[in-house]
Amino acid sequence: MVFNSIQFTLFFIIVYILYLFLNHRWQNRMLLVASCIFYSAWDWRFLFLIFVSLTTDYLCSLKIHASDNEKRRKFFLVLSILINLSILGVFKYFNFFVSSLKVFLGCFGLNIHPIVLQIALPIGISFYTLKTMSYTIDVYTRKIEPTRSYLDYFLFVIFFPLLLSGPIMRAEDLLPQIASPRKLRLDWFYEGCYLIFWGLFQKIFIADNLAKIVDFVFNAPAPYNGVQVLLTLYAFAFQIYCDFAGYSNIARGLGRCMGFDIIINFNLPYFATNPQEFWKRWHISLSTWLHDYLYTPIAFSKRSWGNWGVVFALMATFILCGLWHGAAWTFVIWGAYQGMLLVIHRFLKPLFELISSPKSIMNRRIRFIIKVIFFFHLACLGWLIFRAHSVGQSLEMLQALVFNFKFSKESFGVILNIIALICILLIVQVFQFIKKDQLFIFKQNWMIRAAFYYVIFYLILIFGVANGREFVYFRF
Amino acid sequence: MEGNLFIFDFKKLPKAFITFLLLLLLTETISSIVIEKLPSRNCLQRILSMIAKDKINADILVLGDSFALTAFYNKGKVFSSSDKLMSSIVSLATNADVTMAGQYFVLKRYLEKNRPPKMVFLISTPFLWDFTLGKLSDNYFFSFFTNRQEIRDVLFKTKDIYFLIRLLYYKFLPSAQYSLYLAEFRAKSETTRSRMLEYMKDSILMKIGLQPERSLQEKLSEIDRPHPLVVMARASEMIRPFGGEPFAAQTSISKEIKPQEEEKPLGVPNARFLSEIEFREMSKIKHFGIYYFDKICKMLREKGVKLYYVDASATYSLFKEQGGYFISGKNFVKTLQKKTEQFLYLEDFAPLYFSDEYFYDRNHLNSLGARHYLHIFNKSLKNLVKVQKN
Repeated sequence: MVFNSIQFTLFFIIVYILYLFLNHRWQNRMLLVASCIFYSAWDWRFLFLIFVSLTTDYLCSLKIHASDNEKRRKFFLVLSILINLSILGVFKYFNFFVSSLKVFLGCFGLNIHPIVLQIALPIGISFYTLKTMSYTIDVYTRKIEPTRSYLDYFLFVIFFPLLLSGPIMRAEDLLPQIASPRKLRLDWFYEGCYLIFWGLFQKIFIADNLAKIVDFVFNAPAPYNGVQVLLTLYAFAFQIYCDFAGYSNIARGLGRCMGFDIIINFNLPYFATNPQEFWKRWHISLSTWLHDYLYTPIAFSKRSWGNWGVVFALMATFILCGLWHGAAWTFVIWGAYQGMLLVIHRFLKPLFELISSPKSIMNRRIRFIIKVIFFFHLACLGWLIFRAHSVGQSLEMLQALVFNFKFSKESFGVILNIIALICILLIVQVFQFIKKDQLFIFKQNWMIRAAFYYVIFYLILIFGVANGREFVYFRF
Repeated sequence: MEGNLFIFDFKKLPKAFITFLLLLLLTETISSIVIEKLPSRNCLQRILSMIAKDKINADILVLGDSFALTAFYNKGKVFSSSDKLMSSIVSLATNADVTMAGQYFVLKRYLEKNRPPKMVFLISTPFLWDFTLGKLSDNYFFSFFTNRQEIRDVLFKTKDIYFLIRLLYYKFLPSAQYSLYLAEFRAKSETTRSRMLEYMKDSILMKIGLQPERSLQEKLSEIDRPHPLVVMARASEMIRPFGGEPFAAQTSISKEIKPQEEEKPLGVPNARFLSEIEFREMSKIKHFGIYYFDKICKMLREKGVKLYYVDASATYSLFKEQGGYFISGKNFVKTLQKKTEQFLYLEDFAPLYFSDEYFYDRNHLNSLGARHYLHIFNKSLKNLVKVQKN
C-alpha cells in the first residue's frame, strides 16, 4: 500500500473520517490499528519484529529510568541496542556478511558453503530500528523521560505516515504530540493537502518518469557512453531526491491534516555548496540522528587523537551510514566517499576562506552558482556508486565518463526529457531558496495557487506514471 | 475524556481550491468533446465508436482475441474467393486484454443498436480465458466500459471498490485518456523504429552479399502487420457502406442462410457451469471469464442466436512449446460445451496450428496467413451451413 496508490487513498479517507469523529484517546487507538493494517498490507508476519523491537525498548527504557545503578542502566541499554541490532543484522545484513566472508576466504583458497537466509527484507526495518534505539539512548542520557503508556509508545514507533521511510522523528518531538490532544485546524488541513499534492507530483511525475531513463541505462550492459552516463546521473540525482522528498512531503502532509507537526526532512539539498551543508539539507532526520548518536560519541571517545579522531569519527559514521542504506559494497563505498568529502572539506575549509570573497553582489552570486554546480557534480559522482548494481559497473561507468565522452543525437532528446521533467521543480525551488520558505507557493494569492494546482494536477494525470511504483527508500 | 480541538476558520474560504475545481470541470467538459473527435487509439475504441455511430446489422458476427482480429482484417486488402457471397460478416474481435467481460460488453452494445445476427463466432486462444482481474488494463477495459450499467455489472461481479474507482476515474476525468493515447503513441513509434532499424540492417547485409536471418520478404510481410480493426472484405458486390471504411464484407456463405428459428433453442435452460474449483483444476481458466462467457451465452440465447466457439490457430513453434496449454484449453471448452450446451464447439473448424510463414509473430497472422485462414474459414462455414440445412 504505497502512498501513490488508490488503495492508500481509500485507506486514508476512511482513517481520516474516523479520526475527525473520535476523541483523542480513541484517535490514538484507531491510528494504532490503522498503522498495523497499513504495515500488514506488506507482510503481516513482520509486525512481530516491530512488536519485539518496541517492547524490548519500552521495557528497557522503564528499567533504565527506574534505576540509579549505572551498571544496571548500562546493562539494559546494551541489551536493548543488542536486540535491535541483532534483528537488523539477521534480516538485513546476514546474507551480505556471509557472502562477503565467503569471497574473503575464497581469496585464501578456503571454500565455504554458508547458509543463506531466504527471507525478504522487512520493509521499514532500518527506520523504526533507529527510532526505537534513539528512544532508549535518550532515556539513558536522561534527555527524556520514558512514557508509561505502552499504546502511546507503540503508536510512536508504528505511526503509519512515518513507518516505512521516515522522517525518523525523535521521541521528544513526536511522543508529546501523541500524548496530548491535537488541534484540527482548517489552515493546517489546507497546508497538509498542499504538501500531499506537491509530494505526489514529485513522486509520480518527476521521480517515476526519471526512473525510466535511469533504469534503462543502469540495466544495460557495458560499454557505456560518457554523455549517456552523465545525463543518467543527473536524472538519478533528481529521481532519488524527488522520490524521497516526495515521500517525506506526503508524510508531513498526512500528519499535518491530522494535527501532527512532522519535521522537514529535505531542505533544498542541491543548493548546498559543500558536503557539510548538503548533509544539513539532505535526509535531515537521518543526518541529525547520525550526528547525535554516532558521530558525537565516536569523536568524543577519540578526542585524544586530535584531528585524526575527527577523521575517524567522520569516516566511521558515513561508512555506517552507507551500510544503513543497503547491504552491498556499493553503499559502503558511497558512505566512504561521503565521509571523504566531509574530511576534505573540513580540512580545506580554512584554505577556501583564505581566498578573498568577491566584493560585488553579482560576483558573489556567480561564485555561489559555481559552487552549487560543482558540488552537485560531486554529489552525482556519489550517486553513481550508490545506484550501480555492482562496484564493477560503477567503475565501467566512470571509465566511460572519462574516456568515452561523445555526444549523439539521442543525448539531446534525453536532455530535453530531463529538463521538461524537472523545470517546474527547479523554478519552485529557486523561489523557495530565495524566499527561504518551503511553503512559498502555498502562501501566494489564490489565483497563483489555483493555476499551480491546475498545472500540477494535469501533469500528474496525463504524464504521471500510474500503478503506484514503490518508493526507492523502501528498500533501505 | 477530552474531545477534539477543532479550530476551523471558515472565513478563510478555499478560493484557490474552488477555482481549481471550476477549471477542472471546464477542462474535463472540453476534453470529453475533444476525445470523441480524436482518432481511435486502439481497436477497441474503433469498434465501440463504430457501434455507437453506425447501424451494422451483420449476418454473422465474429468476436475474439487478437488472433481473430488479425485473421479478419488486413489494411483493407481484398481477399478473393471463388465462392459467391451474399451475407455480411463483421468482426468485432479485439484482443485478449479486453477479457471475456469486454467481449460481453461489446456484444451487448452491438445488440442494443443492431438487429441480432444469425450466427456469432467466438474465435479465441485459451489466453482470453486466462485473464485474471488484476490484469484488466486501463487501455482495454477501464477507460471504455464506463456506462452506468457496465459499472454496476462489474461492481456486482467483482465487489471490488478499487475497480469501481478506476471506472469512475475514466468516466469523470476524460482527460486521463490522454495518457493512454501517449502510451499507445510511444509504443507504436518504438515498434516502428525497431522494425525500420531491423529492415535497414538487413538491407545493408544483403547489399554486402550476406544473408539476413530471415528473408527480406518475410520481414516486409511482418511490417505489413494487420491493422487492428477487423474484417475480411471482398471487392465486388454488396459491400456495406461504412463511410469508406473497409469494414463490412462478404464471405463465401451462400445468401440463403436463414435465421435458425425452427432449430432447438440453444442450450439447456438454466444450465449451471462447473464449479470454479473444477475449472481451475482443468486449466488456469478463471471464474471471471466463465461468468462473462455465461452471460454472452444467455444473452444470445434470449435473442435466438447461435454461438459457435472456434479455437484460434498458432504457429507450430508456439503449439510445440505450449501445446499442453492449448489442449487443456480445448478440453475445457469441450467440457463446458457438454455441460451447458449453450454453445457449439467447432473443434475442427480450423487447424490448431499452421506453418510459420503465415504468421508475423507466434500467434498473429500476417496478410498471407489472413488470406489462408479466411479461405479455410469460408470453406468450413459453407460446410457448416450445409450440414445445418440437411
